[in-house]
Amino acid sequence: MKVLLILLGIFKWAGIVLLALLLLLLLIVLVVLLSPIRYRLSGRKQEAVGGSFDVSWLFGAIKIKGTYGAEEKTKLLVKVLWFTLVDTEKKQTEDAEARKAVAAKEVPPKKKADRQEIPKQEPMLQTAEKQPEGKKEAAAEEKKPKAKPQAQRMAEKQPKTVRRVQLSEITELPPEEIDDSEEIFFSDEVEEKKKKGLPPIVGMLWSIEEKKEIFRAFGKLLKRLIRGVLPGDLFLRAVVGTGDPAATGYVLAAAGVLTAKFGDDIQIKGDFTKAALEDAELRIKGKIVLGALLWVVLAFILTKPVRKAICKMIKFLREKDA
Amino acid sequence: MQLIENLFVAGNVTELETVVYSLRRSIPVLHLYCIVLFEDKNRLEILSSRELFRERNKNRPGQIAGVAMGKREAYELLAFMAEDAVKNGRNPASAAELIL
Repeated sequence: MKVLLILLGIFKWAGIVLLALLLLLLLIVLVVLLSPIRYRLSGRKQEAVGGSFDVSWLFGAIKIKGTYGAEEKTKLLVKVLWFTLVDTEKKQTEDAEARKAVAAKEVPPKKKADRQEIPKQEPMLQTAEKQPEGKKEAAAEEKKPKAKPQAQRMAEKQPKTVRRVQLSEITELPPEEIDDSEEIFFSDEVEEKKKKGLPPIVGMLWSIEEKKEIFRAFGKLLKRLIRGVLPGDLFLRAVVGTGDPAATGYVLAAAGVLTAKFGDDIQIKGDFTKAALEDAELRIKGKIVLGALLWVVLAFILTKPVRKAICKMIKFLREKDA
Repeated sequence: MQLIENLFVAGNVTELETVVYSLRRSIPVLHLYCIVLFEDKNRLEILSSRELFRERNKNRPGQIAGVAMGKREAYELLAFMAEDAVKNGRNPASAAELIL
């Protein structure tokens, strides 16, 4: 009797431990599926191009940060919990310190070399005066061919062969008719060859019923996936010009579509005189929930026509292997 | 839709006889753009030949003043028409005087 009680007690505790493990696993899966991947991206182009990005997941446990710019140094930081996997800023400071240490060690022998170099500097001073003048001339020559504003393009392209034609001098000609009778697009032999050349899986896919519904469901899937990935916040400000006033107008019209969704956060102005991208600033913020994307894919797979098509494909592959 | 007597023709229009034949019979020509003076609005419009011969435009009173193969060439043709008007002392702001 006692042994039985002990055994039951062991089973009870084993059951509790298993249940705890299962719940823990379920919690981990839920956290992974439901915690959003938050991303933030910002960029600007004023005098130079620069930007930064930030991606975090599992409530900041996994972080990736980076900056890029001509004025700032390029940095990348990857962190998982409290472990830093990649830190280019730290590496750069370490490298700089190492260089300083090396330079500090080399200073004493350099003092002797300086004394020897002084007489050499005198001829350098004479040539240095001539160099800026020569450089200025070269710079001026380089600048001349580059300065050609885009607005002149239309004027240069004035049609030289445009003409005025008297209608009374034109004899009308009907368009040439194409004779189709001699051309045979498909003969029986060609069709049979084509059929033989097709792999059997293509034939099987072609025989699937309800293709229209499958395409419709696929369209819905794509729409939902895109909606799940697109940013929630978008701020864009820029002065845009394409060089061609008509094309610039098209770009502004396309920007109008974004304005309908994002409102005053889209401020795009057109420059109809030249090709330009000035005073540009972009800020994007959004989140991706893996669970939502998985749900959308499952919803697509479980749609009746898609389910039937998948079962048919599995059956075909099994028969092929057999 | 009528054509003016002195038609403006862009340089890339090669088979003008076929173009005129088609325009007189309201047959759209691929890639052909027409500069048309519509009398109801008293303005010049650039339309593809396909758009021109749709129901909504077919019965509008107007005259075809210029033809070009492509939208870009049509814009350049209109610019030429304005220049031509200025050279000959006509008022480029008036649509009717542009096509004289």
